[in-house]
This record gives sequence, C-alpha cells and structure tokens, in this order.
Amino acid sequence: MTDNIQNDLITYLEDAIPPGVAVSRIEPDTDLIGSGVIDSFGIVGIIEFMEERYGITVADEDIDPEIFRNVRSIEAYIQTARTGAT
Amino acid sequence: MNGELGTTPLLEMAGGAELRIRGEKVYLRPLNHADAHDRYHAWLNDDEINRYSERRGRSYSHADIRAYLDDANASPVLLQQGVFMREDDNHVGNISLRVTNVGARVAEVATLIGEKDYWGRGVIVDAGKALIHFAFQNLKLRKITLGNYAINRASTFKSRQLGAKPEGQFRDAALIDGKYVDVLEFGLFAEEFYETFAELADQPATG
Repeated sequence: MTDNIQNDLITYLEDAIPPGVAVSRIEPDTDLIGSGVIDSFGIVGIIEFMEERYGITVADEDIDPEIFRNVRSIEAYIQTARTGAT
Repeated sequence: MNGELGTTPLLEMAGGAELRIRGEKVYLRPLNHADAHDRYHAWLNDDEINRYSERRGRSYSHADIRAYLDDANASPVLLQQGVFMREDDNHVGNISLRVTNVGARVAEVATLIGEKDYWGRGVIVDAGKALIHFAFQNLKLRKITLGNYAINRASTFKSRQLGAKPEGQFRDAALIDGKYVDVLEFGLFAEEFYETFAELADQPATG
C-alpha cells in the first residue's frame, strides 16, 4: 500500500514539475519544496490529486510545508487521513 | 532609516526612489508612472488573477494606476513595490507592505503576480521573503501579518512557506462566487522568520 501511494504520488509529481525546475526524477525523500517541484501554485494540484485519488479532505491547517516536504511525508499524511487517526 | 513610522512617507523611510530590495530570483523596487504599462493594467482587470482579491469585479484605468502609485509613494503607512525578475528585469507583479498598527509596528503583506507564465515558479514566495526580510531588518517592524480566503489554498501555503503561523479563522467572512467563505489570518515575528530562513539573518536586504 505504501509503495503504491508513493508511486502514484511520484507519477503525479513528475508529470507536474514546473518549467525551469532542474529535477527530472523524484525519489521518496526528494525535497519537493526546496527543489521547486511544489510551490504555492503547485500545492493546489497535489491537494486536488490527493483528495480525488484517496477520498480524503486536506484541512486548511494541514496545508503545511512539513506535510508536503517530500513524498514520504505526504504518504504518511494520506495513510493517517484514510484511517481517520488525525 | 530616516523619519518616523506613521508620519514620514514609508517609501522615504525605506530609501526613496532608488530603493532596491534583493531576492534570489527577483528584486523589488518602487513603481512610478512609467511602470503603469498595459500589462499592469491588464493584470488588474483580469478575472482569473483577481479571483481571490478585493479587486475582483472592478475595473481600473491607466489613470487609476497612476493615481494609486502617487498615493502609495506618499503614504506614511504603505510601501508599494514592483516585482522584477533578476534575469531580465521583467515586471511580473507587485507586492505591498501596509503598516496596520504604528505603535505595535505591525504591517500586512499583500502580493499580486500578474504574469501567469511566472505562476508556479516560486516568485511569490521569493518576493515575500525579500520584503519581509527588509521589513524586519531595515524598517524594524515587529510583526508581519498575511491574510487570505480559505479557498485560496495557494495563498495559505505561501504564508506557511514564509514561516507565518495561523492566528485566526473568520467563519463565512467573505462572499466569493455567491458562496460565503472563511478568511484565514497568519502572523510572523522576526525570530520565527529567521528560524525558517536562517541564511538571511546576516545578509543585507537591499542592493
């Protein structure tokens, strides 16, 4: 399950890399914010992807750089949200 | 820093027409009538750009822009700056600092990236970081606030990226596209900002 979520996230994020960002391959620990893969506009797309794909709702207070720091942290958030253990 | 906060025009206190605030990708400088170009005019009248702004639904002329810039540059509480790309001097948006409490030295930051080709390129956070660094280091402000409609998740993330902490949620406090929406407020003290951007602490904000 973990691998599936991580792979889904990586596939989405690699397709959504903004122009001018010098990253072509994303690993589970790639710094998505520091590398420019996710910025304040990119966050909207990844949240919509998470909500549609996994049936979760990302609360306003969870729009937090630490949650979106890398694929591993996003995956952990999704797992927690899906079990309702928030 | 010359003058007194709340009395002297803020631009004059900040360094006047020659002010240059330095970011990584962008620099900020004051705007004058020559900057009231057609693209700037188009930004203010674009529904998509202004969807989550108080400007939405209004129309602005070139004369409105020139009058606004004159007022802004003379204001004791407003510092209006253009956002320019360092790579080619392209004017891509604006950012402002409005002092909301002179005694407590609190100011609010507001941003507009008008050139859509620059959305998703980290420009807004770079500009915000540069202006907030200047506000703490040069203007000796104590606190910066940022606010946005909750449905504007891009803006929420921008505030959090800048190190700001959530301070309030005003329920159904605005009307967007026929629906009431919450308004979020964020706050940031200097120590929190330099915790997030430790590399800036010893760097000049201008130049």
